[in-house]
Amino acid sequence: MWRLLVAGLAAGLISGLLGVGGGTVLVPALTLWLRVPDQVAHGSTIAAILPTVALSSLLYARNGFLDWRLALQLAAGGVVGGYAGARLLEGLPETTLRRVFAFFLIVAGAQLLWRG
Amino acid sequence: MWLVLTAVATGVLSGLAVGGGSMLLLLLLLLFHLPQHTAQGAVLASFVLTAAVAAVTHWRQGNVRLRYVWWMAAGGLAGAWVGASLAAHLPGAALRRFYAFYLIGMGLVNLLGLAAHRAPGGAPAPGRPPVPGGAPVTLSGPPGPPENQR
Repeated sequence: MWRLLVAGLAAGLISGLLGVGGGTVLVPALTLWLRVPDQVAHGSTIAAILPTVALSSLLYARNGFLDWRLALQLAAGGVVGGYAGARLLEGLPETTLRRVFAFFLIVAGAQLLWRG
Repeated sequence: MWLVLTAVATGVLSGLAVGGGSMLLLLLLLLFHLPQHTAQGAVLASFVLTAAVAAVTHWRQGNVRLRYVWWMAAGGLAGAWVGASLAAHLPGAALRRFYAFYLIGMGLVNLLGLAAHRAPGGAPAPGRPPVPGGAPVTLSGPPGPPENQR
């Protein structure tokens, strides 16, 4: 289980530092290291992310970097979008979409670097 | 209003298991020109609610294994404390640069992961779920009795 601890540490660090969830680290850790089925990996990851993002949010708030109004708007949209997405995307060519999205991330990251 | 719609759109994308959360932060930076720290704080706080909803859904579907959760959460809390404290002391420009590298890395990992996934046989698992911030959480998993193990 030390591997999960290390994966959690890395995910938490990335999450707190960059303002992302950290699931990109935890899901592969479960599926590749422990051969956990996809659905269980996703479910367990999201449960582990919950306290992590809660702590990060508190620390951001304490340092004056949390706009609650903004966060609530994003959360409302995220919940609606999450449900809609789970239904809308069924049957779509997931692999192609993910590949397009991956290219987009690379281009967006490069653009951020370029702009500074 | 546009902010909410943006969050809806990235929430939909998170169903692809490709990181709707990372996308949300990107749009807040590029479209709404929010300061880096403010955008990151808002995304993290919004995840608390979206993750809670998704976690309940997964729990009901029996997809949560507490013996994994405890360890990941323990590491995650320590990491988050360090990461969020570091973020508070770093300038926004530096955080933005780290984030840019993260996006590029995630894009590459996704591409390589897809290639590796396809090789051994077959399409990736269907019904991929949205996880705030990167990974996927499904809201449409197979029904069945909860098997969450303590």
